[in-house]
Amino acid sequence: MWIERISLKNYRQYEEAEIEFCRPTGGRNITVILGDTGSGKTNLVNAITWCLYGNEKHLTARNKGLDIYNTLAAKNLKPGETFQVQVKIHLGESDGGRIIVTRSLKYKVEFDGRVVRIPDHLSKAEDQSTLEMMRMIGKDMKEVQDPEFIIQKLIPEQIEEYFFFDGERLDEYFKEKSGVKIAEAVFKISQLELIERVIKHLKDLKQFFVRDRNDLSPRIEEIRDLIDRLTATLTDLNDRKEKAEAQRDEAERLELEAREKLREAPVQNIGKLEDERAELEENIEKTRKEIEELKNEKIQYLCSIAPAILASSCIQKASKLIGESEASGIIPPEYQPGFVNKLLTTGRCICGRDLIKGSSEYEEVKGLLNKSSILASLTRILIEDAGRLENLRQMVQEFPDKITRMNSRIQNLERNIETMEKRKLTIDSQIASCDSEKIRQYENEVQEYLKKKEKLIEEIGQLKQQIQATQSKIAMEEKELEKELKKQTKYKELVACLEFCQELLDVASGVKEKTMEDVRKEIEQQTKELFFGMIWKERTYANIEIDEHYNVSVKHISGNEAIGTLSAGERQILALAFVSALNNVSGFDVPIVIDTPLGRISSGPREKIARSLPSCFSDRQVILLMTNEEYTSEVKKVLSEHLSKEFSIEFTECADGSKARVIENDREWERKGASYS
Amino acid sequence: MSNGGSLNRRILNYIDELAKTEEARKFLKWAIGFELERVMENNPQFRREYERKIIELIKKRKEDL
Amino acid sequence: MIENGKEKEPRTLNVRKSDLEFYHRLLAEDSPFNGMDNKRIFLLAMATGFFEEKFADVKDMTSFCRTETLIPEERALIDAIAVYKEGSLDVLSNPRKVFEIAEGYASGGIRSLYEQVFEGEFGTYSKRLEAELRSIVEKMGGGIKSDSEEKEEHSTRHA
Repeated sequence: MWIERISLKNYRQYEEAEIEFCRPTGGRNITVILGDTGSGKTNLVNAITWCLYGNEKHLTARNKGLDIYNTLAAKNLKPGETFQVQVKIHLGESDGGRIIVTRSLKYKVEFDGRVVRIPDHLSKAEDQSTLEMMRMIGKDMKEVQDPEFIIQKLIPEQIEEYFFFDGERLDEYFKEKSGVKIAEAVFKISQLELIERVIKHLKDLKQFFVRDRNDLSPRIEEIRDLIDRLTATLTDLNDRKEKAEAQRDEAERLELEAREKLREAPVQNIGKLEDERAELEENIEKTRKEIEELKNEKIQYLCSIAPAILASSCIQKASKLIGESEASGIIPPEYQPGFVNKLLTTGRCICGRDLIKGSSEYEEVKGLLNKSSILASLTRILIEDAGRLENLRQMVQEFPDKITRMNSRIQNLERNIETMEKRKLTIDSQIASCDSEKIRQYENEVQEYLKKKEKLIEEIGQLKQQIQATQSKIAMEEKELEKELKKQTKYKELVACLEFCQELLDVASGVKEKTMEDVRKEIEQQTKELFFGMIWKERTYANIEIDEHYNVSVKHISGNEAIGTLSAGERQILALAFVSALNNVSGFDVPIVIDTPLGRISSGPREKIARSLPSCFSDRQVILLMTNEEYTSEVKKVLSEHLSKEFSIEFTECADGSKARVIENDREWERKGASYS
Repeated sequence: MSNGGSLNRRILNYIDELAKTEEARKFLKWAIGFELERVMENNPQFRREYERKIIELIKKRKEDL
Repeated sequence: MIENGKEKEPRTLNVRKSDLEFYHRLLAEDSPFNGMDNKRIFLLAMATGFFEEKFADVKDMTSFCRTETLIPEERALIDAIAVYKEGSLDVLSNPRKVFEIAEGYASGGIRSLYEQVFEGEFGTYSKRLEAELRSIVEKMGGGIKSDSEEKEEHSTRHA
């Protein structure tokens, strides 16, 4: 699918704008739209998301709080007159089909000069804008009855951020808590929300089946009521956890904002101090993670050695018995079973006597065969065990030193944290005692949000544990309930329903797990391929992994973890590779729109990343919204062979409002060949 | 239209693989389609539909036995 | 250690159905054993049962882990426990009996293990386990004495 045309009317700075795109063919799949900061590039992305979902997903601080209509549009209208904000997107489908999506919002100029919205009361959108869709059916364009549903099928809102995104925010995938963000991305792209809903509905249904019966025994009713209460508790705990997580995210966002203000404050050294403090915090966090890993390693070791230590008396006794058996000649047996068996089969003893079946001599030799058979097989076991018991003995012997060494490593790291935290406190007080009132205010804000965040993290940890415990209790009570129901035949059908629901839940959970795992592996593989296809330091990095907790790891050829030391350019490549992998694995054929893809990249790697962009999304339409600083002559050069069209946003600001229009560039530079300016 | 098709197919394939009974397979495929339609999102009516389908499949299982 | 005779090596180590909840809880997210396999928990429960001299009847069992996942040292430990209980090496000719003894101690020890992990705060279980193991090793004089070391010590004491 690709965007054929976008038409904007009275939308933000776009009084009237139309952009015509080409179908991506012959390797020409890139469109560049150039604009200075604030000229309206991001609002083009907002226009797309508003049109499709009724939501502007990328509003900048500057635009938040401003209404969506272009102020110049209202200026020239008389009281009582109306105007419309409209965004129309024409989409082309790979099978030749066409779709036109139109979203509009009406406004009226009141007699007192105010501009008020005229909501569409039938609208499903939050801003009560109207959504319409025309779709080609056969040869005709026909109106679609449920446009929201079609859009959900084409470009689900939950995953739009992987198709229309801010290049400067790609980094966030690989910052702190990357595992959580990546798990979220994989979950969404796998459309597992569907399976989750099935699971939730089945769980609810199980409760309904029992709740609706009014012929239950008192004991069963008691269990049912307990399950209901525990379920209500669980819902409450989950709600509280969600709320706390949202508050934590908000506190973090505000903390980062305050830090940014500090960093940019024009007071001597404050910027440097803030940078040092940020680095210390990062190192403290890294060290804490290292300590956590060491502690996990330690508990693993303790659990593996504990059985040998707890059962040490057995090791000693068994070793002793084996030693004694060897010393006394019981093992190996004096006579090999094969030899004794031969005597019986030939019917002659080594002394020359006949061994006739049934005779006392025969029975005696047969007894000897049985004994030697047992001893022979025992010999093998005992000799092998003796060696292994000796290994266990050594392992137990090494235990005190090994555990002491582990503890030392942990203690050293803890001491490092202490040192870093002391330095951080010094910086905290240096910043706090700065002369500037503004600096002190920002610093107070940072500390306030940090404290709030830490408190919320603790609360979330406790809630998670309580949730786990409640879930276990519910599972136990459900088993008890089933047990009680099975005792009476009148509940046979109910039991059948509950068992069937459980069967379905087990399968659904398995499907969810396997799909997540499958998708994770595929994304890992594709991210790796794309990253190594793009990175210029071929011999520096050996591997990329996304583990089962969705943490991304970039392995240096030395074997060390390198993700923390990637340069901004390398991280951008990793992020592009990852998002590209998500796109490819998703199965959705959707155009890609990237706002400021090279904004945070220094000039060196910029060209290399620009060169990689076409290969990341080779068969899709890619629309790049760039500033002139990003679109250097080198970048222009590398993109030119994939470029289908180039536009510029012309932005003018006047007293009454602002106006932007989109003009196609003539690309004379391309025709001329050598010089790019 | 194949948008998202490959992933929905993946979910459907896993249902085929993991479901041990025909009834479980049928129900889950029906339920995925049901949820995709978003007809019953946040609507208690999902319950009636789910119940009806479950009872229908259990009855069929008993008849087959 | 596969017998070539009548007794076939059991394929699984089993636990009581009623104990499954304890095992699941011990492998849950908030447990220090989260991420470990069933075999590890089984061996720990078995060793706990042995140490506390708690042996339970093995009935109403269900399979929990495969015997083929046991590494040789773990197998040797299970053998040693069976030998200790029976007082003789002969028990090793009956692998089924050997595993039943392991299962008996695991059944006896699982509840105690569960209580040790979940009573009190989660974070201190690791410390308690370390302290207990250190104390046991210290009481042994730094390790399990080999036969020759024991004889030497005995003769030194009585010299």
